[in-house]
Amino acid sequence: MDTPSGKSAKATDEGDRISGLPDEVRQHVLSFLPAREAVRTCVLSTRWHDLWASVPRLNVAAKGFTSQSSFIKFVNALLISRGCIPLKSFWLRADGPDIFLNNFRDTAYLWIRYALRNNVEELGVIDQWTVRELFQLQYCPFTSSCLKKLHLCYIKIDDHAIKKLFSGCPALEDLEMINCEMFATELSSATLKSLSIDYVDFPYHIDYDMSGCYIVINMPSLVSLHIGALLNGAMLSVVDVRLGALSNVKKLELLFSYDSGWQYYEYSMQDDTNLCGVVFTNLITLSLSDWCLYDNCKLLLYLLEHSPNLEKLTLMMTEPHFRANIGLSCSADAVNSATPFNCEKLRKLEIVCSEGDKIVGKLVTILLTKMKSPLEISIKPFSGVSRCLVVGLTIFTTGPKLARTWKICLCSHSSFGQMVVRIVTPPVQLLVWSQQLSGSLLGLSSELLLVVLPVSTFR
Amino acid sequence: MASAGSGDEKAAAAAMITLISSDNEKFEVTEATATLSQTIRHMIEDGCTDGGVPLPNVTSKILARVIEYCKKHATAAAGEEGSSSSFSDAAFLEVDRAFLEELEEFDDAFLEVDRATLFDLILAANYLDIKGLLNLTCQKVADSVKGKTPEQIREMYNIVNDLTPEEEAEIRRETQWAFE
Repeated sequence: MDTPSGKSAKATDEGDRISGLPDEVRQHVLSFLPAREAVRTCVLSTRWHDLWASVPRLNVAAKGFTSQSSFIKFVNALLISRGCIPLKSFWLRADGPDIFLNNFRDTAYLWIRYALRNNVEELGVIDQWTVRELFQLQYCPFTSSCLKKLHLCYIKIDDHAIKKLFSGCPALEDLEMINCEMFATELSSATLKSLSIDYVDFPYHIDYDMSGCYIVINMPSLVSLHIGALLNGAMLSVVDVRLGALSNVKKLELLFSYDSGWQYYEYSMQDDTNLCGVVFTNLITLSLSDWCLYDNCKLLLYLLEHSPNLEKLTLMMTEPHFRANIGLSCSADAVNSATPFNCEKLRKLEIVCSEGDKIVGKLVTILLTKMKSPLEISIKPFSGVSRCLVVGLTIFTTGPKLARTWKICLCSHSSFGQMVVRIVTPPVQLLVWSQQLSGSLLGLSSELLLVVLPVSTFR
Repeated sequence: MASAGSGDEKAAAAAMITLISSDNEKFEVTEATATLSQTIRHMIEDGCTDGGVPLPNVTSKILARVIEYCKKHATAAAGEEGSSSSFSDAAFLEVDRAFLEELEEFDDAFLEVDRATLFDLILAANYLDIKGLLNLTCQKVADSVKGKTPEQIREMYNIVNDLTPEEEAEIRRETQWAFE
């Protein structure tokens, strides 16, 4: 075989291979370290002496610093020593004990300004939870032609700041906000491609008459929109994600709670101008939490009917007792009233639910009744610990359009409760399997009544 | 050849590329697998892959591992449409969570190599410009030195300290703010 290269590999194995790596590769290694550790490599040897100063990615974290003043001293010295070498990413994390950005906000603004001045493309500003005032972006001059991605955590943003951000950073494509306070009612950007909002409070309504205030997301370039939990949901004004203003969106995740969901639903469905007639031409993946069950799944059915290119639907169910008494239902009316879906490309339905959630069976019934094409359904437990027991899944199928296969897949923690499958017309093939049940139920066809007992009864 | 053009997706998916290691071993891979390497992607775009792509910097042992990585990750990228492969686009790609977990397990197992192989993989990833593999391997090295003192890092990686005591003291004085 190739003895020379074999030998040399062995020889270098003994030697100093890390210092032999090209400079840019060693810088890449340093970019995965906290800034302080990256700087400390300067004493390793002559080959390492200056390397840290030109690393284009900085992770500035307060973790490991004993006091705020030592952290500030370190970051100031780091940035001054580093000079104006271009940056690709800059992550500022106030994750040390009693270290909050708002306590030294003018200095923090300078650091952010430093990153922007040095053409940073990816910027993260992460504070931590506090009962006191959050760090505000208000006074931060967000002007950059390079900034592409901004990640904010525990930051307060007002109307003015958000407008300045979008107008001052024309290259911004990706905005992620977690645990932030948004004192804004309008999020408008022509360039943003991805917006993710989670655990964000919109306290603006305090100053306004709630009925007249809603939050508009107007981003025609958006490809991905994720809205997770919104804080103080009951007080939240309507989040208007009018699809006319989101015409390019491919991935839509509206996973907020019932109260936010109710307001969104009311706004979208009851005023004819808001959603009616909108077609979600580009939508490929859709994820909704169980607020979409309001009013007999009206909005869910609307979305399915108007998303001709949808490929994957995920429904996140919360605990059934949370949704009792708040008008979430899934009755036979919904089955009867819904028009068959035009989702020819929908192949995957994923339902995440807790054990014994009876609504799941009904939902699946509706979807299978109205679906025109084969569908793979997987039902997963709400959390890894609990099992999800599907109760009362009844599938009636009629009509001529039945030459198709349904696959119902239960992941390892799940089991059927009582499942009744009545298939009226052959040649439907229903494949049902889970890890526990595999094999025994395959290849069923023709008319059958199938009752599957919970897995525990087999043990 | 013209058939390898990216215009016809099916032809592109089926097109095979031959990679030739430094020790002259030939590896046949799909274009989808090979183009995880930006270096090879550019070669294909320039139409200079006929008769195989010689990779004089990569041994057959390392190339086999690199291909193993690319094959696995090419499947992950398969759902992505068009030729765009930037990271921001990948974020929009909906991949099954289960598959992502599988991919993570694969990566973890993939990194179970001796140090010499790890460095060879880093060099190959850098030369072939495979972003994901370079990140994965460099992260592994970074994790291994995290929390270590300079002395411990030197010992760990056989780094000979060629600084005179005076020089080292001087550097420590200059960067005292990082050692407090």
